[in-house]
Amino acid sequence: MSEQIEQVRQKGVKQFLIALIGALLVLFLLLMIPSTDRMPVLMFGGFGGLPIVLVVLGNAEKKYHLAYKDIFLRSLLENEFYDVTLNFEEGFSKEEIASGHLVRLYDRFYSDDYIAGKYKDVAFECSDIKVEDVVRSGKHTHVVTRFQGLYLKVNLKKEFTGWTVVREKEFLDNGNPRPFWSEMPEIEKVSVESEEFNQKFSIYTSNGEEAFYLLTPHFMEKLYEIERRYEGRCLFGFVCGQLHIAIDSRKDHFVLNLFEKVNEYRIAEHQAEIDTIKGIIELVAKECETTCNTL
Amino acid sequence: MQYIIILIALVLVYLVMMHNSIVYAAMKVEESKSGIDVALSKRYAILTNMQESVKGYVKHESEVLQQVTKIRKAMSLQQLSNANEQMNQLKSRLIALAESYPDLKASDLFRQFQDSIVDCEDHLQAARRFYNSNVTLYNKKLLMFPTSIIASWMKKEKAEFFEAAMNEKGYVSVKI
Repeated sequence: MSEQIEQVRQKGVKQFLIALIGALLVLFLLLMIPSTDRMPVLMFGGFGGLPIVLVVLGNAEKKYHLAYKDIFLRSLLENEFYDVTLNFEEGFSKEEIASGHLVRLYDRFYSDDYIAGKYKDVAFECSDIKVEDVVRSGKHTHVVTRFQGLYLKVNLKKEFTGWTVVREKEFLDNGNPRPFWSEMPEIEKVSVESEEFNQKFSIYTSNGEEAFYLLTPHFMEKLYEIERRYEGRCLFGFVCGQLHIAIDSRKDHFVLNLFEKVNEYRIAEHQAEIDTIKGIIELVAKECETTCNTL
Repeated sequence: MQYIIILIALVLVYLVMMHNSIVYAAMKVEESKSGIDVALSKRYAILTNMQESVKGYVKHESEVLQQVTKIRKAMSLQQLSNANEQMNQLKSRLIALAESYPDLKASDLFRQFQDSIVDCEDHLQAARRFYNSNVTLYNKKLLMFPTSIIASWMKKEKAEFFEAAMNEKGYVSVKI
């Protein structure tokens, strides 16, 4: 199994080295041409050679990732969960995430590593998502990552029609989401009995009473536990009978470097990422629907 | 002179904002109290249906299960608490009765009633917590400076928590 992955990796490394050596040779030949004009060299370096090398590297890395995930990670996930559906190349659609009104979608949206399955009779769906904001200030443009991490959905037992979001507070509360929800009907901010919870999270809802119906003291404890246990800013959304959990950990899960063989350290890291999904489901399982219905 | 006028205008705007915030908080308290009414009415309806279904099983034991106070509009918090307590007692009696009648306990209808009661009580808890949360916010406005001054001008009084009222109520017995 690991030989197959290693073959893909070595092939990728070879392709990258060939592209790099080729680009350097062409660059060297261009520099050898007796001319005072170095523009062709710069043109090649800037617009030709370097991007080609980067594209080759990107493709080789992608093939290596897919081989690792298809050959190794698939069996790991199938051992941990049941009724598993995997799509490592794609994740949730932009529309699916937008309908949750949990994560604001800026200019660029990426999603991959879709996993759907059941764990402890709880059906779940999850995927990695990344949201980037292209900020233009004068002549300069730079890209800011606004969200990167796990997005997980589970069905809840309780029936509800409204929309409630629990957001972990940010530094100086600079993540005030009201403008993002401007198109939504009336939203109110509610406070619960626990001062500790209120200090850590902001609760916005379209129906105050429903927010209290969903956020029982027991469930609040579980949400707090998720925040404590897992690194990153947590967002919880109660939308259309589902609980959406987004953890902005700034991490891309299940990644490998092309120049690194599959090793025990990486496997342990990826196992920990799977354990995160399991841990979250275990914490909220009591409130989840445990029928045979898939999401 | 201009600055004084601007200053007075700003103070007036601020006072109006504070006044409106108190009115809004009071409105939220009333609104959430109606949530308790709705949850209690639903609970009343389920319990009376449950009572009717039980009668068929326990004809020889009792003639009628006594009705609890029906929830009406504009009931005071004290009255709501009393009605809630009557319902608690009725529920306990009905469940105790079901324990003595296995047929009744095993019936689908009784199970459905029990599930409905549990869901209804979850809603009642939510309504109670929401109401108390709004009361806390409202009472804070009445106590904290500077809204406390406006509130005293408006002659506003502290709102009562639903639980506090429950502790003061007198019991009304429910006979089976």
